[in-house]
Parts: sequence; C-alpha cells; structure tokens
Amino acid sequence: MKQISDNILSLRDFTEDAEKYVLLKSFWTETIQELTGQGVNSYVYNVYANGKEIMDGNPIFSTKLDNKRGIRIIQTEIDPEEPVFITWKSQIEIQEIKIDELVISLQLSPETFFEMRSLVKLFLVDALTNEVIKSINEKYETITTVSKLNHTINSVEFIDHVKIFRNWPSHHFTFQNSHMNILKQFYVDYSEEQDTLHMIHLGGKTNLHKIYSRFVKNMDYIFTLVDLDDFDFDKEHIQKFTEIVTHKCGSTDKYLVELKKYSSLADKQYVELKDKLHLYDLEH
Amino acid sequence: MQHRGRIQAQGETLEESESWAQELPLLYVDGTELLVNLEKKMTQKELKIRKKGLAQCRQVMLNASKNGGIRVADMGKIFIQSYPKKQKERIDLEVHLGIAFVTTQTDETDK
Repeated sequence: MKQISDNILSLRDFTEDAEKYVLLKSFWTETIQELTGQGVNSYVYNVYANGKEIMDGNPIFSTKLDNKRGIRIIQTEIDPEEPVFITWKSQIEIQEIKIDELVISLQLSPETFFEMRSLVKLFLVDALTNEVIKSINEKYETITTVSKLNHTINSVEFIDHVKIFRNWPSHHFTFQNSHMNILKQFYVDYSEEQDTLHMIHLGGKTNLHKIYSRFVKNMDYIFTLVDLDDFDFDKEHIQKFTEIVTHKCGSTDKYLVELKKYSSLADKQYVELKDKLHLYDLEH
Repeated sequence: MQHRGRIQAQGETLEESESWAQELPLLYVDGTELLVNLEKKMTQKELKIRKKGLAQCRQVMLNASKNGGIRVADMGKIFIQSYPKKQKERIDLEVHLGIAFVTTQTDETDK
C-alpha cells in the first residue's frame, strides 16, 4: 500500500507555489493510479484561457474511470477552522455524457489519506453506499467542530475574550471561567474517545447514537456562540463585542444564558455518554 | 449555445442554481450578477453556511477575469470547482462549454 511520506505531509502553502504544487499533483497521480490500476484521464480543466495553471487545489486531481465514473480530489490547505474531510457522490455532465463522480475534499493527513483510500476502493467496486458516505462525513464534521473549538479556546483572541469578561460584573467572569474549563475538558476527553464514538455512530440509530448526535449538535451551538471570526480587538473592543453578541442573541445577558444552556446540556450529555461508552466498551 | 455553465447552491433543503447559455462569452460582471441572484435565493442561514464558499467562487471569477477567463473546448473536459462546507452544503461553479468570466466579449470572439 502506498504510504504518505513526511515530505508530502509537510507541504504547506502549496496553492500558487509551482514547485510544491507539482509535487502534490504527482503524489495524487501515483496514489490514484496505484488504487485504480488505470492511467489518468483527467476530466477537469484547471487552466485559465491564457494558459496559466489554476493552482488552488480545486481540484488537484481528477480522472475518469470507464467513461461512466470519475474521481475528483480537492486538497485544501491545513486550516483548523475549515472542514477536514468531506465527500459526496454526484452526477455531472461532460458534453452530454453523464458521469457519476466521487468527490473528496480534504486537508491531507495520514488519517484523511487512509480514509480517501478506503472510499476510493469502495467506489471502484460499486460498494460505496450513501450510508457509508454519511457516516464518514458526520465523523469528520465532529472532528472539525472539536478542532475549531480547540483552536478558538487556545487562540489569542479567546484569551483576550476572557479579559473582556473581567471588566464585566463578577458573576459573568465566574461563569466564563467554568465554561472555558468545560470546553477544554470536552476537547481532551473527546479526542481520546473518537474511535469508539465513531463505532457507535456506525451502529445505527440506537439510544447511544441519539445521545451522541445531540452532544455533537450542542458542541456545534457552543462553537457558533463563541465564534470570533468577525471580531477585531481594538480600543473599543468591549463595545464591539457587545454589539456582536447583541446581534447574535439580543443582549449580552441572553448571550450568556444561551452559552450556559448549551454548555449545561452538552455537559449532561457528555456525562451520560461517558457512562454508556464505558458499558459499550465492556460489551464490545 | 456556444457558451454555457452554471453556479449551483446545494444543501439539505436547498437546490438552487443560476445558469447561462448564450452565443457570446459570459462577462465577468454577468457572472458576478448570477452569483448575486443565487444569493438572493438563499436564506440568511444558508448564506452564512456558504459564506466562505461564495467568497471563494467570487475570487475564482475575478482571478479568471484577470487571466483571459475560463475556456472550455469540446474535448471531454469541463471546468468545475466545488466549495463544500458539509456533505450537502456547498457551492459548485461549472463552465460546461465556451468562455466565461472575460472582461470584454470582443477580445475573445476575435481569437
């Protein structure tokens, strides 16, 4: 099986860097050729009309298989705020011929590389079902959410976020401290439990799966509430922050209530999940 | 029609598109207008999910306009870019045939 070398994994800022881009294109060509046993028959133009190549990784590779199916790979830069792995099947038309394509958009890592290989193999033998695709996407949606949360709570902006709350009445500060601890704990514990949680998800619509889904949803709400993408820190940062949270929730008090509600829900679900996970591990 | 393509927004409860099929190359300004029309078909929530994807789509059109546009000849290939946020929430930009995102139509038709 083709391994992924450290050289390839270490390539950052590859978009618009001709040297790195060539390396990655070769890597993908070799990888997919090895999987399919076929030569490359690209079906996507990635060139401007003046002949200049579009080096944005979208797609970085494409190939037709037997004129009825295709594989398109989109490689994005490593970004903790963006999706790690997304896949779908769709039908496109190329000069009136319909092609069923497997599309994979990923940030390259050993894990996503392995996932990509598995999906391509299933696709090649027509065994890639919608259930498998859904399961893989939900797994990585959760991984992305947790990654974003971790990135947010460790970012300089979030630390400044706490400083802002220090200027608020003391009960707000106390709440924010405990909330940050919950977020950090979720990330640490959750990272260790990922594989088991993924197996639960594949197990179908069990009660455990429902709790897992609710937990993930609440984590997502929490992230939406602490999202600081639009926030610039300047001299009037408290006023600006107030405007943003008022826009999100109606008032700063409501914002804190929302944050507390979702973190309490997620906290309870997480405790329940951990208990049931322990039982699940014992049974399996 | 010698020049055609579409911009599509897909989602759990969303499937909207803006397409073109015309005798003359698609101008960049017309492409951005199509994108604006597509955005008008989405709710605030749908727009927010696709915020980065829409920005990327705009940037691709702009970059193309600075490089002579996108040209798709009838040779078994198309131009397609996807900007996914989740499995079902994404924007697709497709040029199926002809030339798109040029700054003037005369420059291209004279070639």
